Amino acid sequence: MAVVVRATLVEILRKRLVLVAAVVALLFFVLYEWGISELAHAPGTAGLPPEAVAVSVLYVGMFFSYLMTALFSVFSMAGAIRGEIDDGTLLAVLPRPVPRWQILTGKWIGFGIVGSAYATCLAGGLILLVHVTFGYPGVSLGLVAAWLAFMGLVWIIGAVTLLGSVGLSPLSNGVAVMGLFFVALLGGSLMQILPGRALPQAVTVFGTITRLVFPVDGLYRWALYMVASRAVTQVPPAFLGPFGPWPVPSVAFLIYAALYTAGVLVLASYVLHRRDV
Amino acid sequence: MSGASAVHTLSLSKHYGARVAVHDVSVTVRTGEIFGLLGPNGAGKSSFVKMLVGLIRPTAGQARLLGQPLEDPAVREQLGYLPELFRYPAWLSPYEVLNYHRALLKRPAWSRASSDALLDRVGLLGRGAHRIGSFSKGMQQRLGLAVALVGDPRLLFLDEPTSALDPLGRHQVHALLQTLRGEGVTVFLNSHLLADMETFCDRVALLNQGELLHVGAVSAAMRSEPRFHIGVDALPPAVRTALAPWLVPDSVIPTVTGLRITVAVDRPDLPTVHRTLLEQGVAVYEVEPVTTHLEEWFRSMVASDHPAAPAEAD
Repeated sequence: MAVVVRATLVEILRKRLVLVAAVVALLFFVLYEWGISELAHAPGTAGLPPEAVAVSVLYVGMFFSYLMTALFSVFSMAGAIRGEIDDGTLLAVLPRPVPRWQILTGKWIGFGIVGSAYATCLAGGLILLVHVTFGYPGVSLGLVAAWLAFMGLVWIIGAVTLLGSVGLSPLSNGVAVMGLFFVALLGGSLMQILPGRALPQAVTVFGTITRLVFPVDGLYRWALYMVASRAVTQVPPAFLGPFGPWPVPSVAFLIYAALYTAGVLVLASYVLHRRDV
Repeated sequence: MSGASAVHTLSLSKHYGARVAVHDVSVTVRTGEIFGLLGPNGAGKSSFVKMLVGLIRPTAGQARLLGQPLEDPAVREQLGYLPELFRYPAWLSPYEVLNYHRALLKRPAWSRASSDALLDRVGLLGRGAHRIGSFSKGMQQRLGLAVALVGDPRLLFLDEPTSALDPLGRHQVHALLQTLRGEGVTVFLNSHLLADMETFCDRVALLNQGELLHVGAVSAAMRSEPRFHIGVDALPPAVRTALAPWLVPDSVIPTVTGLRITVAVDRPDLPTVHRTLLEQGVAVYEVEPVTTHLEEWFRSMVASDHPAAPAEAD
C-alpha cells in the first residue's frame, strides 16, 4: 500500500495542484488580512467585546477555508478510480498482485496527507492572522482539537469522493459530492439562524439528517466551537449569522464520523473489488 | 485441468445482461508457446484477456493460469500484461514507472543500468529519465512492453502490441518475441495484424461474436493448396482450350509482364501444364504455389456460418 501512497503524493505534487492551491491561498490571506485589519479599526465595532469581533472574523475566514479545502479535496480525487480506468492508467496496475482495496486505501492516504497539509496551512494561516490582529485566539488544547477536526474534513470528503470515483465519471462525481457537501452545509447553516430552543423542530430534524448523511458539516462546526469555545458563548448568535457552531456536536458524533468514514472506505473497496474494468 | 498448461479455460463466459461478450470458451495454451487470438472487432478478444488477467470477472466457467486458479494472488506475480488502450502517468519517467511496477510486484527497485537494459530491449534506451508526457503513442507502447516484462513473467499477455508502432518498432517487437520464445516465456498474443500472427504464433484461436470457432496450428490454416499461379506473356484461345482441364475460372488477371493465370493441379501434373504452354508457344515467366494466408483463412472462417468447433484435444 505504501507504494500507492508514494505514487499518489508524487502525482499531486507534480500535477502543480499544490502550486495552484498555494497561490490561491496566498491571495486569500492577503485579502483576508486587509479586510480584518479594516474591521479591527472600524468605528462600528467600538462598542463590541474585542473577542466577539475576533470570533466573527475568524468564523467567516474558517468558512471560506472550509470551502476551499472541500473543493481541493473533491477536485484532486474526483477522477481517482474511474478517471484512471477510462484513460487507461489503472489497466496495467490492477492486474498486479496488490489487492484492490490497498490501491484504493493508498490513494485515500496519499490524497489525505496532501489535503491535510493544505487544510492546516489554510486554517493555521488565518488563525495566525486573526491572532496577530486581535490577540485572539491563543494556543490551547481546543486549538489542537480544532486543527485535528479540520484535517478530518479532508479524510471524510476524500472517502466519499473515492467511493463516487469508483463508478462515476470525474465530472459527475465532482458534481455529486459537491452537491452533497452543499446540502450538508445548508442543513448546518439553517441551524445557526435561531439556535437553541427557538429553532423549529423541522429545521432541527433536517439539520440532523444532513449531519448524519454527510458528517462533514458537523465536524466543521465542532472545529469552530473548539477553536473559540470560551469566547463564542459570549457572542450573540445573531451576530455570527450562518457561520456559528450550533448545536455543538457531541463526542458520539465524532465517533460516528470516524465510523462513517471507515464504512464508506469499506464500501468503496467492495464496489471496486466487484467492478469490471 | 492440465497443470502443465500455461492457460486453461473451461466454458469461460462473460455476459453483460443479454449481451454476450464471451461465451463458453474452452481453450488451452501450452507452456512456452506463442498463442494468437484472432477475431473481428467486437469478437470478445479483449474481454477474454481481461478475464484472464483479473480485470473483469467471469460470469461462468473456470480458468487456470500456470496451473493455479485465476484468483490465486501468486499467479499475478508471474504475469505480464500489455493492455490494448492504456496510458502511463504523464508526470513520471520510464525509470519511475518501471520501479513503481517493481514495487507493486514486491521486487527490489532497479538501478538505472537494470532499467536501461530493459528499455534497450524495447527501443527506449536513452529515454529513461524523460517525462512520459512528451512520449508519442508508439513510445508509450514500447514502454508498455517494458512494464509488461518488468517482473520477468512466465506468462505474457500482449493486447495489440504493435498497433501504434512504426516498421522499426514492429521489427523490434518481433525480435523481442523471438527472444522470449527462446527463454521459454508463454506469450498470449491478441492482434489484428495477421502478418504478426503468421510470423510468430505456433497456434491460433479464432473468436467470433464471443464464441470460439477454431483452435489450431498456424501452419494448418496456411496450408498449401493444389493450385499454382503462372505468369505468361499471352493466352490465345487455343491455349485456353488446351488448358481447360486445369484453368481456374475467372483467374486470368492482367499484369505488367502479361497475364497471371491460376491452375488447379496436383504437383506431379504440373510439368504437363508447363509442357502444354510451351508447345503452344506461350512464354512462361514464373510458377508460384498458391498459399492460403491467415487473412484469407480468417475471412473465410468468419464469413461462413461456421458452427462452433470444440477446442482441440491436448
